[in-house]
This record gives sequence, C-alpha cells and structure tokens, in this order.
Amino acid sequence: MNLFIQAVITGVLVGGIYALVTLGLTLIFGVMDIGNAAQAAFAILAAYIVYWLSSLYHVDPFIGMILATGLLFVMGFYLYKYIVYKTSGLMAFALLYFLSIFLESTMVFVWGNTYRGIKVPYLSGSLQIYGYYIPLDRFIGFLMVSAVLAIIAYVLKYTYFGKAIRATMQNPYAAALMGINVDRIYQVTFGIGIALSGIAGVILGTIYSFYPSLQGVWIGLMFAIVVFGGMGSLSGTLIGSIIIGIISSLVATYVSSVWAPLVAYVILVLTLWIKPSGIKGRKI
Amino acid sequence: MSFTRSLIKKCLVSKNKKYVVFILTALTLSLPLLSSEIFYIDFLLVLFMYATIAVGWNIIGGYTGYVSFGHVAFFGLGAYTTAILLVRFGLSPFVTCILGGVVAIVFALLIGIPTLKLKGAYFAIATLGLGFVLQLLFLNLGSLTGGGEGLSLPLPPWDIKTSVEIFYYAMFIVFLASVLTTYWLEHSRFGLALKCIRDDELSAETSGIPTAKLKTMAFLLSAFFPAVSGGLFSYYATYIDPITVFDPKISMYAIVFSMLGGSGSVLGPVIGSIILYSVAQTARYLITAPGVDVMVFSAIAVAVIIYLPEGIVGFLKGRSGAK
Amino acid sequence: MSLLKVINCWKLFGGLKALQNVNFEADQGILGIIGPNGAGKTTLFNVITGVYKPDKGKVFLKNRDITGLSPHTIRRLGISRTFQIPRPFINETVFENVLAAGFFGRVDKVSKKELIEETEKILEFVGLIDKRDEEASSLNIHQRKLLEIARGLITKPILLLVDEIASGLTPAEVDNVVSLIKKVNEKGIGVIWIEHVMRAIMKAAERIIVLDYGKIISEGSPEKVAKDPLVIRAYLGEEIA
Repeated sequence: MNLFIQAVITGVLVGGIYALVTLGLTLIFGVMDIGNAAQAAFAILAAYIVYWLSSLYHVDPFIGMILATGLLFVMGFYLYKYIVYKTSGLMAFALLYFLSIFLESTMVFVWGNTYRGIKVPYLSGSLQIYGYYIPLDRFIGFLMVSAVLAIIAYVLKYTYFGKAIRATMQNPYAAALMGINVDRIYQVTFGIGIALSGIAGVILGTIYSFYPSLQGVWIGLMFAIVVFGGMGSLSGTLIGSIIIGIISSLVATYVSSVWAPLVAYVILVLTLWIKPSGIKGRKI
Repeated sequence: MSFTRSLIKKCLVSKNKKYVVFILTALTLSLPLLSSEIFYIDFLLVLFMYATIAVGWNIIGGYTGYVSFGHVAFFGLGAYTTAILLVRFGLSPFVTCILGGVVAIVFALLIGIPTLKLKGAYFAIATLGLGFVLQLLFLNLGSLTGGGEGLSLPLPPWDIKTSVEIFYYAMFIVFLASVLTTYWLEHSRFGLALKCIRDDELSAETSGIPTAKLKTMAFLLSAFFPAVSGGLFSYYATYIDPITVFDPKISMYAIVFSMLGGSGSVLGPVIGSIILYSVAQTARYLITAPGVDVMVFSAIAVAVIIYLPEGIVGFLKGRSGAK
Repeated sequence: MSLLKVINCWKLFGGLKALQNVNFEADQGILGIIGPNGAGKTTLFNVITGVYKPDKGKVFLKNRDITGLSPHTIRRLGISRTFQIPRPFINETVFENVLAAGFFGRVDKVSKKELIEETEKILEFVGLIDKRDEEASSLNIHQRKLLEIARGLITKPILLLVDEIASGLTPAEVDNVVSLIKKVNEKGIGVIWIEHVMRAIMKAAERIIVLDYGKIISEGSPEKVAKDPLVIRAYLGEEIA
C-alpha cells in the first residue's frame, strides 16, 4: 500500500511537470489549431541556454529562465509572423516538425549529443511527509505549473487581450470584423506558447538530464497529453498529464520502468480511436 | 531557366518519358560492369533503399493524402523480420524480405484501423510515435531481438565485390517494383479513387468510393515496400539494432524526398531522393561534424514547404502553389 | 409509387434538435425543400445519404430499409447528391471527376469503354464537354455546380438530391440549372431539391416541404405553401399587428 501511495504521489508530481511542458502546445492548439511539433525542441533549447548561462557566467538558473523565456517569446513571435503564417493544418505541423529536427541537429552540432543537467544546489533535497518522499525540485515544478495555469486562466478570463484571444478562438472572421487584430493575436499567442515551453524546459533541465534528441521523446508524450486531455483545453491538459503521470509511475513501480514511456502512446492511440475529442476538448 | 524547364518537361511529362526511363534503367543495370569502384555501387544501393521507402510512403502520403510520420516502423519491422528468420532459422533473406513485407502489412492493418479515421494533422500526430514505440519494444524484448545489443547476421557467402553487386541488383529490383506499382496506381481505378480521397474524402464517399477500405489498402501497400528494402538492408549491413533501423529520421527522409520531388506523382519521390541523397552525402563528406546532413535536410524541408509545396514535378507541370 | 420514405426521423447534435420527427415521402417528381437557415435541410440530406445516422427513425428507398448504411452503399443503391458548396476532386480533370464516380458508384456491369462514352455524353448533357480535360480547380462556381450534377448522373440514380444549386449564380445561370434539373427529372429521375432562391424552386417544384427548427411546418403545392401563415411567420418573424 505504501508503495502504491508513493507511486501515486510521484505520478502526480511528474504529471505536473508534464502539464507544464504541454501548456504551450495546448494554448497554440486551442487558439490557432496548429500542432506545434517544435514545442519540445524549444524547451530543450531553453534548457541549453540556461545551462550555458549558469555554467559559463554563473547566472542563477531562475534569472536565466527569465532571460530564456523572453528570448523564446521573441523567437516565437517572429517565427509566426514571417514563416508559420503561410501555412495551416497539416502543412503547419509538417513545417514545425522539420523545424524541430533542424533545431535538434543544430543543437547536436553546437553542443553535442551528450547528457547535461542544470544544477540548482538549493533544490536538491526532498520533503518528507508521513514517511512519503516529495522531491523538492518536482514540488517546485508542480507549484510553478499551478501558478502559470492560474495566470493564464486569469488573463484569458479578465483582460482585454484574453477576451480577444477567446473571441478569435471561437470565430477568427467574426473577431476580425469586430476590430480585433487577428494576426497580432496569433503572433502573440505563438510567442507565449513558445515562451511557456521555455519555462518548462528549464524546470525539466533542473530535474532530468537532457540532450538534443530528447525532444523527439518529449514531443510524443506532449501530443499524447494534448489529445487525451482534449485539444486546446487547459484544464484537460492538467488532468490528462496527471492521469498519464500516475499510470506511468504505477507501470514503472509494478511492471518495469522501461515500459512507462509506452503508456502515453497507448493512451494516444486509444483516445484517437475511441473518443477523439479527448476528456474535455472540442470535437476534431 | 525556361529552356531547362521545357527540356526537363519534355523528358518527364511527355511521351518521351518511356525512353528516358528505359535508358536510365539500362545505365543502372550496367553500372557494376562499367565501374569497379564499390563506393559508387554502394552509394546507389543505399539511394535505391531510401528511394524505395519514399516511393512506398508516397502511396499513402502523396496519393491518398494521409501523411505518415512513422514509416520507419515498417522499414525496421522488415529489417528485424528478415534478420530474426536468418539468425534463428537460417532462412535466406532474399526470400524472407517478402515475409518482412507481410509482417509490415499486418502491423499496418493494426495501426491503420484506429488512425486512418483521423484527418490531416491528427493522422500525422498519431503516426509520429510509431517508430519510437517499436524501438522501445525491440530494445526490451531481448530474447527474440537481441535488445539494445542488436543482432549480428552471418556474412553473405561471397567476396565483397560480388556481394555488393548482388545486393545492388536486389535493391534495384525492389525499387523498380515499387516504382512500377505507383505507375500502375497512377493509371488505375484504384489510384484515381485514392486521389479523389485526397482531394475530398466526403465527396469521394458519397460518389460511391468505399473510402475506408481503399485507404486502408493504400496504407498496407505503402508499408510493404519499405519493409522489403529493410529486409535487404539488414543482410547487407550484417548488423542491426533498434536505434539504427527505427531511427525517426528515416521517416523524415521519406517525407522530404517525396515532397521535394513532388508527392502524388510517380517520379517525384525518385527525383527527390536522387537530389537530396546526393546533397546529404556531399554535406557529410565536406563537413565531418555529426548531424550536418540532417541539418541540411530539415532546412531544405522547411524551404520546400514554404516555397515549393507541390514539389519539383508539380512545379514543372506549372502547378506550383508558391506565392 | 413513392421512391423515398423518411419515417419519424430524429437527429440531435448535443442539445440541438436538428431534425424532429420528420416524416415525408418523395415520388418521381420534383420535391422542393425550403426553410430558413439552420432549419435542418442539409442535415436531412446527410441523414438520407448516410453521412449521419439518425438517432431515431427510418429511411426507405423503394421499400428497402437504407437507414445507417454507409454513404457509398447508398450511392450505389441509387441516391446521388450535390453539395451546396461544390466539392469537386480539385486536382483531377472534369472527366476524371465524373469517371471516378462511375467506376465506383455503379452496380451494373459496364465496360470501361462504355463508361467513358457515357461520361462524355453526360458532360455534353450538362454543358461541360469543352472543359473535359481541365482540372476542376480551374472551373468557376457555375461550372462546378454543373460538374456536381454530372457526377451525380453517371451512376444512373433513382433519386437526385440537389442542395441549393441556384445560390451564388447569376439569373441567367439560375435559369440554366433550373432547366437542366427539369430535364433530369424528365428522364425519370426523382429530384429532392433544397433551395433558397424562391424564384427557381417555386417554378420547378410540384410539391414543397417547409422545414423550420428541424420540423416540417407545411407541405403542399408551391401556391399553397407560399400562402401558409406558418411559413410566412417562419421567414419573416411574427406579424406586426
């Protein structure tokens, strides 16, 4: 029983990290119906930037995270403005997929395909509650995803910009007629989506070791979460992440950790087969 | 430019195509007699392999409009089927590579049933993880597959030169079979139905085309050829492991080669393969750092999507969608 | 004899009742279906052609239950349709568009040569023979609508469902498609015709059904329907006293 509870706790915390990585993908999917296959590559890129800043210039990882996030926003904004806008649907997905391979191979070229890790000495311990271990770094990650989710929910619900995004989501043509600059909404959303993956990548880099090709592993997991939770649904992403996190953790505990990565793919295919709209999402 | 264009057009689009293809085939067949350099023969052999994967991919991705991002799964399955049958049962790869194709067809059926219901990017997403999943399975089913250590195959019983030539002809036959299959597709009712599905699936269905059945058949057919070429590859390479034969980049090559040449045409994937494989090998030769060829590929792929979405063949037919 | 019978058909989309207990019969004449936007007209076509399964109710073609069959089967049994916004196979030629339907949508044994001849005859009939070898993407809206009819006719249907063929056309083009559909009907093919352009449908239809909020609110000759206060209210809202 103790083993079970520990596995569930680990699963929930890992699910939180999954959610953090996937939020940007969900946002871009929901607002502009683009499957951003380059999302994980940008996350790894952010992790490298922070690693590089902290190991060469001794910049604190959290300061580095803010810098990397800002940089990624700018990259996302202009990427959409000058390239991605020309495509949609399948072609946009393919474009971003090839971009992810380009980023990956460039990172291999620049940094090599070896394992790196961002060291944060003050986050290396574990909390212990009623005899169960809660690793501090994962716990902080979980808090961050909650905070980011709360901020996004607030922005979407109460600000002018958020209302404009929601209007655009529902009907871009009508939104344009109402005087909303739809192109600008898309550019900013894409920027925010990419920037979110930056935050996630850094958190990821402090918890796990990373290397450029890891993006290929993560993007599969992220798409599984988005599809399972429901395209474009933020709460669906959180719930889906935690469920996939718990199942993976249980599989790792009771079967073998080598099969845990399979969980996400099986869930992806089953969701697409049985209920393509996911737990909470709109219809495909 | 316009002169070159009309010249190539004359070679490719008009009735002269037959002769051009014939001459190229004759040249290809006689190459081992003309050159004693193993390097060139090996170069073409691997080119035929990639071209076969691309031509196979083109049946579902180009003709039917279901863009698979996981075709490496079929290549790897073919490679492993042949390797296992040789290592464990001593069966000849030149026969069992066909069995590898059959295994890939069965797997494609299993995957196709849930995923071919999906449209556009969703099908792409569903197939994205295929190679990864099989890689994981083959890494961890050690007793049968040799796990991460891979499988070493017995060496072919010929000297190197003869061996390379035999594989060269074998790979060429598979390649030719795949091209002839798409040529038949281009001129058959089945192919016309696939193109209708690509253009408008609902309209195809209400026109009387049994879309679910036909697109599944297209998927199975497109899985077959990559698997057969994978089977030959495993014997030629004499060693395979899950990381090599389920490398997701092979899926990418299939897509990029087809797209650059022009997907949904007979010669598009072939032309794309010739150009890009040559470019990649040159890049690898000039710059020895890892990942350079992949970098070049992906950059070209991005450029093709933006500037030449109909590919070279589409461009020559004056059907360029570029703005 | 009635060709098509729709009995107690219901179709729900979540909470929206797109079709509520729809009952009607169609014979060999031209049956018009009118109604405000969102009244469920196209949904009705989708239920008849098998694109949607009705939640309740049955559809019979010549006394054969076709409810829930796949669209391509229903097409082969003899119901062709055209789409409101034409959906040609955009990268194929006009000829191939029609031929493809002929290859797959027919149950009678017909040789390829005969089919090619018939395809050309039909292209001549609708007036697209000049465009035979052009890609469908090069056609204008009027030609695309003609192509939809040609593609519908190649399978020798019992019944042709026509969805708003006159919308978006110039008056001269409207006259052209109206006379074409009348000619189709004279060949003995039953026609069910959804239309917003009243000038076209009132002239051509023998009988009209009016749908509103998924229900049939009126049925009868064009003259009778036009005077029905329920119909006037559905189109114009409550009468101002």
